[in-house]
Amino acid sequence: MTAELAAFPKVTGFLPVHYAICLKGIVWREGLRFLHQRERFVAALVRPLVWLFIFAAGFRQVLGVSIIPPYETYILYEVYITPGLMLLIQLFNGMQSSLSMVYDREMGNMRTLLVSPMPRWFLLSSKLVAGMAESLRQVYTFLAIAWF
Amino acid sequence: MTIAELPAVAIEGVSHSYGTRQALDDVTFSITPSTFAVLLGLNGAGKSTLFSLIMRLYAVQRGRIRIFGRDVGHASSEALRMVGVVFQQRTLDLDLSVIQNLIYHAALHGIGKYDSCARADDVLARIALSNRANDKVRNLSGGQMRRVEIARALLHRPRLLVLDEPTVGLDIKSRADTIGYVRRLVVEDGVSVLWATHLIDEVSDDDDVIVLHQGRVLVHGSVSRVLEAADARDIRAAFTWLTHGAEAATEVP
Repeated sequence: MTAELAAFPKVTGFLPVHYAICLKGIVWREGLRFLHQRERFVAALVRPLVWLFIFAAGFRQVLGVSIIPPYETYILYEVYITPGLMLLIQLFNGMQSSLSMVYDREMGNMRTLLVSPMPRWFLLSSKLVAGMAESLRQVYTFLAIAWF
Repeated sequence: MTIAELPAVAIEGVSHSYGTRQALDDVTFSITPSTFAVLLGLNGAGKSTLFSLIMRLYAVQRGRIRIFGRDVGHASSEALRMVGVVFQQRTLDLDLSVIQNLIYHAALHGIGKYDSCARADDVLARIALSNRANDKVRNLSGGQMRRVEIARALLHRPRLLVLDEPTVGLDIKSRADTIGYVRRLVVEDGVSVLWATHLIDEVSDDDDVIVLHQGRVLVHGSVSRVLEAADARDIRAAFTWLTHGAEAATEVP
């Protein structure tokens, strides 16, 4: 048994590839959780889509940006507010991600993350990157729906 | 000194308090490699606090904790790579499948997907849950969830396994299966185990026993040493005598 223990590989530091694997794993897990919580996905998209399709469509005849520099053509209201709606999605997704961390803490999942041998700063950064990746996914989904 | 000669875990003068309440008071003990050590204590004895300190969930306020010679405070990455943990509270993600939970854990240790899938297949076969690999964790029984947690703790091939009351809430058969499986790990794989419990019947005659009470180590040694310290005939009587005796002693003005 002693020989068996002595045969264990020497513990060395992490290589960049290990950090990349860890980051990928955290982003992957957040993505999976997001897909499993379909109501969260729908709720995140409904708010800006309601704004875009109901308010913007309703006001398109009365609101818009005139042909003034830097614009060379009349800007419809729904086009004008689309970047704002994208930011709205990201804002609410940021709040959802924070709530998700609280939920993780309450359910004990956060411990899985915290007992990882990776540095804490890296784990926190990875969680933030995962949240950003989710918000970008929602933004592109929103843009795809808005396009059609 | 080779790694085989280093203590699996060495706790040296560790004290911890939550505000004014002292949870651990000058706790000192060490565990030799490839042993099954039982941390025996009543509820509130400080077992979970000690585990949280070992796993770096709390910063060590006073004292030192070393895992195979690596200080948890100063070389936490190296130390934590050698430890697998099963907490008292379940920490699996219920929305993910068994295999997804394992792959996620492996990624947190920097193990790639290909390697982690192979390791997951291996550990799931060992705990006889290969057929549930793609099931969501929320559909498993309590005993199966515990086995998955143990499998997850073993995925990165740790040298030390710490388990905080892992049999709480399990039926008799699941308890026996769980403790039997962990004991086999010690014998067959040379893993060192620190098993926290308040259930006396989980202690075997060959175990290393640490009796923790009100944040202090009352006695540490083999079962026979504990019996001798308490002048008792069985471990149940010894534990009762030690903990009640300690309570009586603290009540003396």
